[in-house]
Amino acid sequence: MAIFKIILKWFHRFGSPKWLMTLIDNWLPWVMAAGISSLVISLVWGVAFTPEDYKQGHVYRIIYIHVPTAIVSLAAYYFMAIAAAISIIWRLKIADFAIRSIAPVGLSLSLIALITGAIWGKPTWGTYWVWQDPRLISMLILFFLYWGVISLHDAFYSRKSASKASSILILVGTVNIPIIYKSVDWWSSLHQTASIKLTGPSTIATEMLQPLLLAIPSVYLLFFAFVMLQLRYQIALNEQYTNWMKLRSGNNLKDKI
Amino acid sequence: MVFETLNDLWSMGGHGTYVWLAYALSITIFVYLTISPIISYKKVISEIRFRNSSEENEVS
Repeated sequence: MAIFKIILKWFHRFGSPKWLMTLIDNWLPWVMAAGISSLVISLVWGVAFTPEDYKQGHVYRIIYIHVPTAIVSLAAYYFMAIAAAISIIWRLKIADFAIRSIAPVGLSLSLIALITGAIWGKPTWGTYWVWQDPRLISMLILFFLYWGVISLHDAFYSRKSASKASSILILVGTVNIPIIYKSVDWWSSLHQTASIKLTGPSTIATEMLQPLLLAIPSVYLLFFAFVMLQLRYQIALNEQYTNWMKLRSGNNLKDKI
Repeated sequence: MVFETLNDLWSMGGHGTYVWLAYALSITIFVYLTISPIISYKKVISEIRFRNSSEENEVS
Protein backbone atom coordinates (compact mmCIF):
# COMPACT_ATOMS: atom_id res chain seq x y z
CA MET A 1 0.00 0.00 0.00
CA ALA A 2 3.03 2.21 0.32
CA ILE A 3 3.02 2.84 -3.43
CA PHE A 4 -0.53 4.23 -3.27
CA LYS A 5 0.51 6.56 -0.49
CA ILE A 6 3.41 7.79 -2.59
CA ILE A 7 1.15 8.36 -5.62
CA LEU A 8 -1.40 10.15 -3.47
CA LYS A 9 1.30 12.32 -1.90
CA TRP A 10 2.67 13.10 -5.33
CA PHE A 11 -0.77 13.99 -6.62
CA HIS A 12 -1.36 16.14 -3.60
CA ARG A 13 1.78 18.08 -4.27
CA PHE A 14 1.16 18.23 -8.00
CA GLY A 15 -2.44 19.18 -7.32
CA SER A 16 -1.36 22.40 -5.68
CA PRO A 17 -1.56 25.39 -8.04
CA LYS A 18 1.00 27.22 -5.93
CA TRP A 19 3.57 24.47 -6.42
CA LEU A 20 2.89 24.43 -10.16
CA MET A 21 3.27 28.21 -10.36
CA THR A 22 6.72 27.97 -8.72
CA LEU A 23 7.65 25.23 -11.18
CA ILE A 24 6.56 27.42 -14.11
CA ASP A 25 8.49 30.42 -12.75
CA ASN A 26 11.66 28.32 -12.64
CA TRP A 27 11.31 26.49 -15.95
CA LEU A 28 9.52 28.83 -18.37
CA PRO A 29 12.43 31.14 -19.33
CA TRP A 30 14.78 28.21 -20.00
CA VAL A 31 12.32 26.13 -22.00
CA MET A 32 11.28 29.19 -24.02
CA ALA A 33 14.89 30.20 -24.75
CA ALA A 34 15.90 26.65 -25.68
CA GLY A 35 12.84 26.22 -27.91
CA ILE A 36 13.27 29.51 -29.77
CA SER A 37 17.01 29.11 -30.35
CA SER A 38 16.85 25.50 -31.54
CA LEU A 39 13.88 26.26 -33.81
CA VAL A 40 15.70 29.24 -35.36
CA ILE A 41 18.78 27.07 -35.97
CA SER A 42 16.78 24.24 -37.54
CA LEU A 43 14.67 26.56 -39.74
CA VAL A 44 17.70 28.51 -41.04
CA TRP A 45 19.45 25.19 -41.65
CA GLY A 46 16.42 23.75 -43.41
CA VAL A 47 15.65 26.83 -45.52
CA ALA A 48 19.13 27.78 -46.68
CA PHE A 49 21.54 24.89 -46.16
CA THR A 50 19.80 21.77 -47.45
CA PRO A 51 19.88 20.61 -51.09
CA GLU A 52 17.01 21.21 -53.50
CA ASP A 53 14.54 18.37 -53.99
CA TYR A 54 14.89 16.80 -57.44
CA LYS A 55 11.12 16.61 -57.94
CA GLN A 56 9.57 19.41 -55.90
CA GLY A 57 12.32 21.99 -56.11
CA HIS A 58 12.59 24.40 -53.19
CA VAL A 59 8.96 24.30 -52.07
CA TYR A 60 9.59 21.16 -50.00
CA ARG A 61 11.32 23.45 -47.44
CA ILE A 62 7.87 24.00 -45.94
CA ILE A 63 8.40 20.52 -44.40
CA TYR A 64 10.53 22.00 -41.60
CA ILE A 65 7.53 23.82 -40.14
CA HIS A 66 4.70 21.62 -41.47
CA VAL A 67 5.78 18.22 -40.11
CA PRO A 68 6.90 19.33 -36.60
CA THR A 69 3.72 21.36 -35.96
CA ALA A 70 1.53 18.51 -37.27
CA ILE A 71 3.29 15.93 -35.06
CA VAL A 72 3.12 18.10 -31.94
CA SER A 73 -0.54 19.01 -32.57
CA LEU A 74 -1.34 15.26 -32.45
CA ALA A 75 0.84 14.68 -29.37
CA ALA A 76 -0.78 17.70 -27.69
CA TYR A 77 -4.14 15.98 -28.02
CA TYR A 78 -2.82 12.94 -26.14
CA PHE A 79 -1.46 15.20 -23.39
CA MET A 80 -4.86 16.90 -23.22
CA ALA A 81 -6.61 13.48 -23.11
CA ILE A 82 -4.40 12.40 -20.18
CA ALA A 83 -5.34 15.63 -18.37
CA ALA A 84 -9.01 14.94 -19.16
CA ALA A 85 -8.78 11.42 -17.70
CA ILE A 86 -7.11 12.73 -14.54
CA SER A 87 -9.72 15.47 -14.32
CA ILE A 88 -12.57 12.95 -14.51
CA ILE A 89 -11.06 10.35 -12.16
CA TRP A 90 -9.39 12.47 -9.46
CA ARG A 91 -11.10 15.86 -10.07
CA LEU A 92 -7.73 17.54 -9.91
CA LYS A 93 -7.88 21.32 -10.35
CA ILE A 94 -4.52 21.36 -12.11
CA ALA A 95 -5.73 18.84 -14.69
CA ASP A 96 -8.57 21.17 -15.59
CA PHE A 97 -6.17 24.09 -15.97
CA ALA A 98 -4.04 21.86 -18.20
CA ILE A 99 -7.02 21.09 -20.48
CA ARG A 100 -7.82 24.77 -20.88
CA SER A 101 -4.12 25.56 -21.45
CA ILE A 102 -3.27 22.83 -23.97
CA ALA A 103 -6.38 23.38 -26.14
CA PRO A 104 -5.48 26.84 -27.56
CA VAL A 105 -1.87 25.75 -28.20
CA GLY A 106 -3.05 22.58 -29.97
CA LEU A 107 -5.55 24.64 -31.94
CA SER A 108 -2.82 26.98 -33.16
CA LEU A 109 -0.41 24.16 -34.03
CA SER A 110 -3.05 22.28 -36.03
CA LEU A 111 -3.92 25.57 -37.78
CA ILE A 112 -0.26 26.03 -38.76
CA ALA A 113 -0.12 22.45 -40.05
CA LEU A 114 -3.30 23.02 -42.11
CA ILE A 115 -2.21 26.39 -43.53
CA THR A 116 1.34 25.33 -44.41
CA GLY A 117 -0.04 22.11 -45.90
CA ALA A 118 -2.48 24.05 -48.08
CA ILE A 119 0.28 26.42 -49.27
CA TRP A 120 2.49 23.42 -50.03
CA GLY A 121 -0.37 21.72 -51.87
CA LYS A 122 -0.85 24.52 -54.42
CA PRO A 123 2.43 24.10 -56.34
CA THR A 124 2.75 20.32 -55.83
CA TRP A 125 -0.84 19.03 -56.14
CA GLY A 126 -2.25 21.99 -58.04
CA THR A 127 -4.81 22.75 -55.34
CA TYR A 128 -4.92 24.21 -51.84
CA TRP A 129 -7.55 21.83 -50.55
CA VAL A 130 -9.46 18.67 -51.51
CA TRP A 131 -12.49 17.47 -49.57
CA GLN A 132 -11.90 13.83 -50.57
CA ASP A 133 -8.56 13.46 -48.82
CA PRO A 134 -8.84 11.54 -45.49
CA ARG A 135 -5.63 13.03 -44.03
CA LEU A 136 -6.79 16.57 -44.68
CA ILE A 137 -10.29 15.97 -43.37
CA SER A 138 -9.20 14.15 -40.19
CA MET A 139 -6.74 16.97 -39.51
CA LEU A 140 -9.53 19.52 -39.99
CA ILE A 141 -11.61 17.51 -37.49
CA LEU A 142 -8.72 17.76 -35.00
CA PHE A 143 -8.72 21.55 -35.48
CA PHE A 144 -12.47 21.71 -34.79
CA LEU A 145 -12.11 19.36 -31.79
CA TYR A 146 -9.66 21.78 -30.19
CA TRP A 147 -12.02 24.63 -31.01
CA GLY A 148 -14.96 22.67 -29.59
CA VAL A 149 -13.09 21.93 -26.34
CA ILE A 150 -12.34 25.64 -25.83
CA SER A 151 -15.91 26.73 -26.65
CA LEU A 152 -17.47 24.03 -24.49
CA HIS A 153 -15.15 24.82 -21.59
CA ASP A 154 -15.93 28.53 -21.77
CA ALA A 155 -19.67 27.94 -22.12
CA PHE A 156 -20.05 26.83 -18.48
CA TYR A 157 -20.04 29.22 -15.58
CA SER A 158 -19.07 26.51 -13.08
CA ARG A 159 -15.51 25.24 -13.52
CA LYS A 160 -16.53 21.72 -12.41
CA SER A 161 -19.22 21.31 -15.07
CA ALA A 162 -16.90 22.86 -17.65
CA SER A 163 -14.12 20.38 -16.94
CA LYS A 164 -16.50 17.41 -16.89
CA ALA A 165 -18.17 18.28 -20.21
CA SER A 166 -14.94 19.13 -22.02
CA SER A 167 -13.18 16.02 -20.61
CA ILE A 168 -15.87 13.78 -22.09
CA LEU A 169 -15.59 15.51 -25.47
CA ILE A 170 -11.79 15.17 -25.36
CA LEU A 171 -11.87 11.46 -24.50
CA VAL A 172 -14.40 10.70 -27.26
CA GLY A 173 -12.33 12.73 -29.74
CA THR A 174 -9.18 10.71 -28.97
CA VAL A 175 -10.36 8.15 -31.53
CA ASN A 176 -9.49 10.69 -34.25
CA ILE A 177 -5.74 10.65 -33.49
CA PRO A 178 -4.87 7.13 -34.74
CA ILE A 179 -7.18 7.82 -37.71
CA ILE A 180 -5.13 10.89 -38.66
CA TYR A 181 -1.93 8.95 -38.16
CA LYS A 182 -3.00 5.93 -40.23
CA SER A 183 -5.19 7.73 -42.81
CA VAL A 184 -2.43 7.85 -45.43
CA ASP A 185 -1.94 4.08 -45.16
CA TRP A 186 -5.59 3.02 -44.92
CA TRP A 187 -7.03 5.06 -47.77
CA SER A 188 -5.60 6.32 -51.02
CA SER A 189 -4.88 9.97 -50.58
CA LEU A 190 -3.15 12.90 -52.21
CA HIS A 191 -1.10 13.26 -49.07
CA GLN A 192 2.08 11.20 -49.17
CA THR A 193 2.79 8.48 -46.61
CA ALA A 194 5.14 9.15 -43.70
CA SER A 195 8.79 9.66 -44.66
CA ILE A 196 10.13 9.24 -41.17
CA LYS A 197 9.21 6.23 -39.08
CA LEU A 198 10.08 5.20 -35.56
CA THR A 199 10.44 1.62 -36.78
CA GLY A 200 12.41 1.05 -39.96
CA PRO A 201 14.52 3.35 -42.12
CA SER A 202 13.36 6.78 -43.24
CA THR A 203 12.70 7.48 -46.91
CA ILE A 204 14.24 10.92 -46.95
CA ALA A 205 17.82 12.01 -47.70
CA THR A 206 19.98 12.36 -44.58
CA GLU A 207 20.91 15.98 -45.32
CA MET A 208 17.23 16.90 -45.53
CA LEU A 209 16.35 14.78 -42.49
CA GLN A 210 18.86 16.27 -40.03
CA PRO A 211 17.31 19.77 -39.67
CA LEU A 212 13.86 18.13 -39.47
CA LEU A 213 15.03 15.94 -36.59
CA LEU A 214 16.12 19.11 -34.80
CA ALA A 215 12.93 21.03 -35.66
CA ILE A 216 10.64 18.38 -34.11
CA PRO A 217 12.07 18.56 -30.54
CA SER A 218 12.28 22.37 -30.92
CA VAL A 219 8.55 22.61 -31.56
CA TYR A 220 7.98 20.24 -28.62
CA LEU A 221 9.98 22.61 -26.39
CA LEU A 222 8.04 25.61 -27.70
CA PHE A 223 4.80 23.72 -27.13
CA PHE A 224 5.71 23.20 -23.46
CA ALA A 225 6.68 26.87 -23.17
CA PHE A 226 3.37 28.00 -24.72
CA VAL A 227 1.43 25.67 -22.41
CA MET A 228 3.32 27.04 -19.39
CA LEU A 229 2.41 30.59 -20.46
CA GLN A 230 -1.25 29.58 -20.71
CA LEU A 231 -1.11 27.70 -17.39
CA ARG A 232 0.36 30.72 -15.63
CA TYR A 233 -2.61 32.79 -16.83
CA GLN A 234 -5.14 30.07 -15.93
CA ILE A 235 -3.72 29.67 -12.41
CA ALA A 236 -3.60 33.44 -11.82
CA LEU A 237 -7.17 33.82 -13.09
CA ASN A 238 -8.63 31.00 -11.00
CA GLU A 239 -6.58 31.55 -7.84
CA GLN A 240 -6.68 35.36 -7.80
CA TYR A 241 -8.54 35.52 -4.47
CA THR A 242 -6.14 33.20 -2.61
CA ASN A 243 -3.64 34.56 -0.14
CA TRP A 244 -0.57 33.19 -1.88
CA MET A 245 -1.60 34.81 -5.15
CA LYS A 246 -2.13 38.15 -3.35
CA LEU A 247 1.28 37.88 -1.71
CA ARG A 248 2.93 36.90 -4.98
CA SER A 249 1.43 39.83 -6.87
CA GLY A 250 2.53 42.46 -4.36
CA ASN A 251 1.04 45.88 -3.99
CA ASN A 252 0.90 48.99 -6.12
CA LEU A 253 1.42 51.33 -3.16
CA LYS A 254 4.46 49.53 -1.80
CA ASP A 255 6.18 49.79 -5.15
CA LYS A 256 5.64 53.53 -5.31
CA ILE A 257 7.11 54.13 -1.82
CA MET B 1 24.25 28.18 -48.31
CA VAL B 2 22.80 26.34 -51.29
CA PHE B 3 21.66 29.64 -52.84
CA GLU B 4 24.30 31.68 -54.62
CA THR B 5 22.74 35.09 -54.03
CA LEU B 6 20.25 36.51 -51.54
CA ASN B 7 17.95 37.10 -54.49
CA ASP B 8 17.95 33.34 -55.18
CA LEU B 9 17.15 32.70 -51.55
CA TRP B 10 14.20 35.09 -51.82
CA SER B 11 12.80 33.72 -55.10
CA MET B 12 13.63 30.00 -54.49
CA GLY B 13 13.31 29.20 -58.17
CA GLY B 14 9.76 30.54 -58.33
CA HIS B 15 8.60 28.90 -55.09
CA GLY B 16 9.64 31.78 -52.83
CA THR B 17 6.10 33.10 -52.35
CA TYR B 18 4.85 29.74 -51.06
CA VAL B 19 7.79 29.03 -48.75
CA TRP B 20 8.05 32.52 -47.26
CA LEU B 21 4.28 32.87 -46.88
CA ALA B 22 4.15 29.55 -45.00
CA TYR B 23 6.97 30.63 -42.69
CA ALA B 24 5.59 34.15 -42.15
CA LEU B 25 2.13 32.87 -41.17
CA SER B 26 3.58 30.21 -38.85
CA ILE B 27 5.84 32.71 -37.09
CA THR B 28 2.92 35.16 -36.72
CA ILE B 29 0.90 32.45 -34.96
CA PHE B 30 3.90 31.59 -32.74
CA VAL B 31 4.28 35.26 -31.77
CA TYR B 32 0.56 35.47 -30.98
CA LEU B 33 0.82 32.32 -28.82
CA THR B 34 3.61 34.00 -26.85
CA ILE B 35 2.17 37.48 -26.42
CA SER B 36 -1.54 36.84 -25.83
CA PRO B 37 -1.19 34.77 -22.57
CA ILE B 38 1.42 37.23 -21.25
CA ILE B 39 -1.00 40.16 -21.72
CA SER B 40 -3.88 38.23 -20.10
CA TYR B 41 -1.67 37.20 -17.17
CA LYS B 42 -0.44 40.74 -16.58
CA LYS B 43 -4.02 42.00 -16.63
CA VAL B 44 -5.00 39.58 -13.84
CA ILE B 45 -1.90 40.47 -11.79
CA SER B 46 -2.57 44.20 -12.07
CA GLU B 47 -6.16 43.62 -10.92
CA ILE B 48 -4.89 41.71 -7.87
CA ARG B 49 -2.37 44.48 -7.13
CA PHE B 50 -5.11 47.08 -7.42
CA ARG B 51 -7.28 45.18 -4.94
CA ASN B 52 -4.28 44.72 -2.63
CA SER B 53 -3.62 48.47 -2.55
CA SER B 54 -7.25 49.38 -1.88
CA GLU B 55 -7.40 46.81 0.94
CA GLU B 56 -4.35 48.41 2.51
CA ASN B 57 -5.92 51.86 2.22
CA GLU B 58 -8.99 50.70 4.08
CA VAL B 59 -6.85 49.39 6.98
CA SER B 60 -4.88 52.62 7.37
